[in-house]
Amino acid sequence: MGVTNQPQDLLPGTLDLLVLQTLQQGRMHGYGIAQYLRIKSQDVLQVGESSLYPALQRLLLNGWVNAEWGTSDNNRRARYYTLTAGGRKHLAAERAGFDQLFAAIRRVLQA
Amino acid sequence: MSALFRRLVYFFQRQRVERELAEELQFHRDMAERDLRRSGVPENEAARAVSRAMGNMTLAREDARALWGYPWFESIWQDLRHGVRSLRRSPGLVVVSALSLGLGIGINAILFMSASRVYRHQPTMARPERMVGVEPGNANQFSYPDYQELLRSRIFADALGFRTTGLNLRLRDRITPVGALAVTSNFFDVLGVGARLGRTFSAAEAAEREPRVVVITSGFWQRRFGGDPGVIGQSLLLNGQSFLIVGVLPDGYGAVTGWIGPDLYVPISRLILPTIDERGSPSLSVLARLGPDATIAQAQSAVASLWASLERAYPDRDQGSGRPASVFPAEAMQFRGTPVQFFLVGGLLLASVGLVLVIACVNVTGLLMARAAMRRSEIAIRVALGAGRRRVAQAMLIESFLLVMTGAAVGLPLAFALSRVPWPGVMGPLQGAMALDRTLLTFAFALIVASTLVCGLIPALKATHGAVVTEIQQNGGGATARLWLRHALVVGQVAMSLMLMVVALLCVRSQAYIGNVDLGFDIDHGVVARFSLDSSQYPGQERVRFAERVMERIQDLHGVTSVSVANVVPLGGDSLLRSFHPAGRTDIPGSRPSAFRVGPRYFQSLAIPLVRGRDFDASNVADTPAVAIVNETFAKTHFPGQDVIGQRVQTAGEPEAEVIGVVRDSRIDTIGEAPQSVIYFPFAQGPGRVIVHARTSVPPESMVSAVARAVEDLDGTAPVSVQTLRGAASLELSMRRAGTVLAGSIGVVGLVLTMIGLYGVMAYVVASRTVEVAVRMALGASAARVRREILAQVFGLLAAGVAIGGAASLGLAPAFRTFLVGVSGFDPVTFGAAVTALAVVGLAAGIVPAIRASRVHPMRALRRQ
Repeated sequence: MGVTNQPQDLLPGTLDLLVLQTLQQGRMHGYGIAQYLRIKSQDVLQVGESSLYPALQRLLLNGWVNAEWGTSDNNRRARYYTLTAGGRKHLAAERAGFDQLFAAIRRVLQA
Repeated sequence: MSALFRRLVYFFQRQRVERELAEELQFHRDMAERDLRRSGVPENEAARAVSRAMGNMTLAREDARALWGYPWFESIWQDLRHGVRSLRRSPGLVVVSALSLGLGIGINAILFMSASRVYRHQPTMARPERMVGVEPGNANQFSYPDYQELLRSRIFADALGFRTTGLNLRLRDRITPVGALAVTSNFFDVLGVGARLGRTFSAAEAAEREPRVVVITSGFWQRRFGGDPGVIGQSLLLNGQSFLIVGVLPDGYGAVTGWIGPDLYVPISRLILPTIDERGSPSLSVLARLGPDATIAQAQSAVASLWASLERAYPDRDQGSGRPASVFPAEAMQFRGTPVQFFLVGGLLLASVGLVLVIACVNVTGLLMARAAMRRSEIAIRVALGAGRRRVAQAMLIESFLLVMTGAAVGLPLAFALSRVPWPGVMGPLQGAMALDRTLLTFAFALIVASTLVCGLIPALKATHGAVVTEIQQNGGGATARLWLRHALVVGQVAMSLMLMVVALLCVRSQAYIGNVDLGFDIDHGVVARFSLDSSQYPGQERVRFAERVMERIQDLHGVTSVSVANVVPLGGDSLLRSFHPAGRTDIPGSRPSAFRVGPRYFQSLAIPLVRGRDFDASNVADTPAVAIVNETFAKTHFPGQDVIGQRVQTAGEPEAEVIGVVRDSRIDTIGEAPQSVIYFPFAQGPGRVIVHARTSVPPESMVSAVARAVEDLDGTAPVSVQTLRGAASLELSMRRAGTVLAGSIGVVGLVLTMIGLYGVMAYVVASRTVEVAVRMALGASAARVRREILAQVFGLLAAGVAIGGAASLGLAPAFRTFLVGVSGFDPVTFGAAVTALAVVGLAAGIVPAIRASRVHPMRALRRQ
């Protein structure tokens, strides 16, 4: 029962990466991020709020995203997240690392 | 780090952040529900589906909170509050712990502070690393002329000399002895110490032959003059002479002689040091400052060769004793010549009070364990709800910490209060040691941490030890396999208490022995006046006449029954050994009886019985045949089977003397000594140091002032020190007594604590068998049988504790041999008494619970479980 609480089958840190990548599309609220991930991954990645919101808090703590309250399209108050400059840098770095890892796994599996 | 900054911001906005998070989560849910409904799912199904799919909202919030906050810190805060609430419900536990721990912590604090002050005392000096102590080859001290040689040799940049002395201060009508240091006039300059008020000694004093100035310490200034700044220019009457106060030393000035320092500093003069011109009489301790590039090794060899040349130049005065002169770092000076026992006593006392604290901690541990056992269900639930073992253990340690803090809150103020109450006798000067400073705080902190761990760790670990759920299901009961820890606690306490009791009893018995030992003379009815006479002013027979004048004056005082003169104080540490031959019998190798010079009625004044022959009288003066009186051991050793009266004996440096009387043996040097041969010669036939003994019919303390007044104006230049006989006897006596009183008290304290602890733990050990007892009684066992069995268990535990404690005490016995007089470390009476006391206490502690257990109604006991 730790702090990270990743959905199963994801490598640690991957969720952060996905969220940051999502936010590159523009500002979104939490539900929007979850929807985006589900749709983009064709229903494979279904992130529950017990994983998503701690991840968002973590990103906030580290200063990779900013959050502010706004109005959603159905006139409800919602919290919107945006990527910061630092977040962008972190995203690039994480992507590079992830690509490396992924390529390595592929190589092993192809052997 | 900006994350840290954000955390800080979070800390101040916690409530708002949580509210927003809750709102955010609710929004998420509502959106998910809306989408489900849009895709056709009916409303309540949608809600339920959302709940299922969305995971645990509470957990999400907790995780977020844990991420932002300092969970560890928050858990401690929570445990503190919970601990306070929970302890409030058990006032008995708090009171007992506070008292036990308070006592333990308090006495540890006092003793540690006193010991720390004494042992870590640093004399105040400028650049102490350049200061050294110097000793000549034949003694610890230099004679004044040799000191001057040392100065002239310029081996050191400068050198100072000092000598402890006692002076009689006259205030109105009372004469009180004060501790003083006679110093060379450059003393404060070499040390680099300036006066806080007025000045220290100057070249003017150095030039003067008989300077009559004094520098006082800050403490003396406060006590006698109330800190009055007009003290400079006033005078003190010391030994009948007027001394001008020229300066006051700074607060916190550390004396070179140790933590207990003198009150006054006077320049050396013939008044203070009549032997000032005698090269052969060592009298000054010397400290010197090394020159800019010198090392100790260089100084050492320079001093050694200087001393060698002095030995050659003055062979009869400066005889060597085979030791080279030595140079050593200055801090060692204050402990030079202190017997190792001084440190051993300190160590022993510290160990004893430490043991008391351990016993107090064990008490509290036992109580906490009992408490933990009763809260088994609560703990099990917490563990089941997800608190880790560590968290539960943390909660218990915090409770233990709270108890220790209560103890400290009781004990430290107690220690401060105790340090204000006047301390008896020789411990008096140590009193100022208790002061709030870094050392005390560090020590108190260390004690608190150690106590917390000792008290809390075992219950904490044990309470969270596995199989907790099983325990609930089985309703606890007496899991005998795990009782060993509780039993170990009881055994441990009994053992430690036995050790403390044995130590305390041994000390008490030793002191009783000393108090009752037949010293051979009456130490409780004597007043002693010690004179320091200048040999140029009082050669030979002049001393006899002076002594007679003194005795005349004292004789007439009301309360004095007998007066005499001698060159010694028994047990005063100043006996002289001579080489001796029975006259004409050179075949017997020279043995060494102690030799003293005493006047008529000496033995009467000290109540030493004359068993044969006669005392010296007015006819035994100079130019009459030499006579001597010997003691019984002397007679038995050197003239066994013969009548020693009339025999002639020869001692080194004396003419042959005829023995005219025999006296009973009495103690000469130390209390515990074996009988030794002593020979007494008439004072008039070889006058030396003048010490006048007066026997009083009233308590001698009341006569000291009168005697001092009677002699003070006889000769203004002759310093005199007047004390009771007991006071003049060696420091050994009073230190022993103080140490024993302390050790005895500590033993009693330990025993009381053990009684409290034993009762509690015993009661619990017995109570934990209630179910078993109830079942057996329901099955037909008699109450008496049950009682017997429980008592047998108690007895078994006691026996184990006594065995272990007894073995440990026996093991330590050889270490005690140095302190004990008249009592061996293996003394059976002591051990017997200690064992009996503990047995009684232990059985009493066990009987009540045993009776209660056997009286309990079986059905009620079972139902209660």
